[in-house]
Amino acid sequence: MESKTLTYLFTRPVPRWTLFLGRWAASALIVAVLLGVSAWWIGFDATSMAENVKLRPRHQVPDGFTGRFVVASVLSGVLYTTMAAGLSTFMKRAIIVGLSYAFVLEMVVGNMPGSTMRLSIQYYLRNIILDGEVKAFSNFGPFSTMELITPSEALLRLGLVLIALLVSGCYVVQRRQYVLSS
Amino acid sequence: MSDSPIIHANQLGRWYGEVVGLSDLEVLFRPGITGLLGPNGAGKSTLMRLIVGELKPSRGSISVLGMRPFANRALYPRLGFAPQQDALYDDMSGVGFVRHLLRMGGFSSGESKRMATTAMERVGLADAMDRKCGQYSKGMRQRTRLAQAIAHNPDLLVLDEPLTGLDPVGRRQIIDLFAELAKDGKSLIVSSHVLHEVQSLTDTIVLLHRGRLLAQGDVGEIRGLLSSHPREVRIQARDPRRLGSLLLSWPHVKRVEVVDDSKPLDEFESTGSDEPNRIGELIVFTEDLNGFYGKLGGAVQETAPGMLSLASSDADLESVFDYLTQ
Repeated sequence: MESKTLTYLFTRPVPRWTLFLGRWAASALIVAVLLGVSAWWIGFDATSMAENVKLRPRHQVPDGFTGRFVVASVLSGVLYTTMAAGLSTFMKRAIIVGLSYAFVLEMVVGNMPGSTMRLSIQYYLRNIILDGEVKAFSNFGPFSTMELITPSEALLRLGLVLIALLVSGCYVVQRRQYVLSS
Repeated sequence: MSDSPIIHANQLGRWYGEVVGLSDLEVLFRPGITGLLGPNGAGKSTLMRLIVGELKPSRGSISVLGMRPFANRALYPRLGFAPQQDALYDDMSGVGFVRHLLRMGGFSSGESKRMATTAMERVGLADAMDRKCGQYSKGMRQRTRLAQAIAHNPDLLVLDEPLTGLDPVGRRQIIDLFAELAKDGKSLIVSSHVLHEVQSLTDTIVLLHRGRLLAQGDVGEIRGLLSSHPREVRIQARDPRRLGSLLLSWPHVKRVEVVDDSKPLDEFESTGSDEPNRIGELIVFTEDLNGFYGKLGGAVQETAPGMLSLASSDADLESVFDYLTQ
């Protein structure tokens, strides 16, 4: 647990929840920058390639794709980071559980047909990327059959999830006792 | 300095699942230095973690400087805690580590720099304060933990095994520092396995065993209350058998053991040719030490060999600890 240094932080006159928020903000910022730059690069590259190659209309990269892709990527990083941070406030193997959630549960639930996919974060991220232009992505199975919502609605719901995760994390850190296994 | 309690544990219990850390602890800590003693697993660290508000009681309550300690921000400026675990931010310098924690305590950059430097100097790390913690020896790491505990000038210091990892010279320096802090009006709770060093610091102890309070107070007073263990007095005398048989007739004396009466007198100072030429040692077990001492002077006069030395051998902390934990 924090290389056993948590004691020093918890015996200072600062609210415990601010320690959680500070740690979360630092890690979320790093993840957001890394993912944002990567997403922009991919989006820029994809758009450039599409402009240089003559594609059928259904294979064209939609307008504004790069921006939406960057937003969705940054949001995904921040959300999964928040989830891992939240899990780590009350479990020891948070990183394993977090990764299992992201790569197993999200993959399964997020690709289920019908409205089940709404239970995954991926669903809302896709809605931000698609912005109603589902035809452009009709080659991708799950995209072509999904029921769309507007990007602003997706953003709102993800924002609520993010706030809920942060509030839960702050609450747990404020109330919970952390006992060193030694 | 007021003598009102600084810590009050009231039927305090703390358990980890089915493992009992502390059970029904009723204890008061008064200002000054208190040694918190007990074998491994006695509950010393659990009690310290309850005092500094890292843990909540499972049962009962604890009050520290008049406050409930768990996550209590009002308490922490007045509290310094040096934990037992050897954990520091290894990528930071020693002074940087202390300074960082001071900044978290609300001190300005300039103040925290000055206070961190002073604290590192007080623990004897003036020369090494700019080196990274990862390069520190075990003793230096221990001193750094102490520095962060004293840096903000708290009223109460809770120090979990603060002498561990220090060499004898270092221990002496730190013990002197503790005495200095106590002189400045600070209260210290010091847990340790090194009993004679605790005794050199204070006579006030709280002794825990298997999560329960075994004894509390002055070491001498506690020893006096151990009626099932009569006090031992070792006497070196000429003609110890004769002295022993005389002492056995006293009402204060429960038992006398002659340990050794075969040492030639020339090992000791010779006082006259008509005295016995052998000396020896006897142990007298008495339930009334003061009464025994009062009468002993006359007895020495009655016995021609006399007495060479006298020592009460089981009134120290080590003996009290052994008797209580047996």
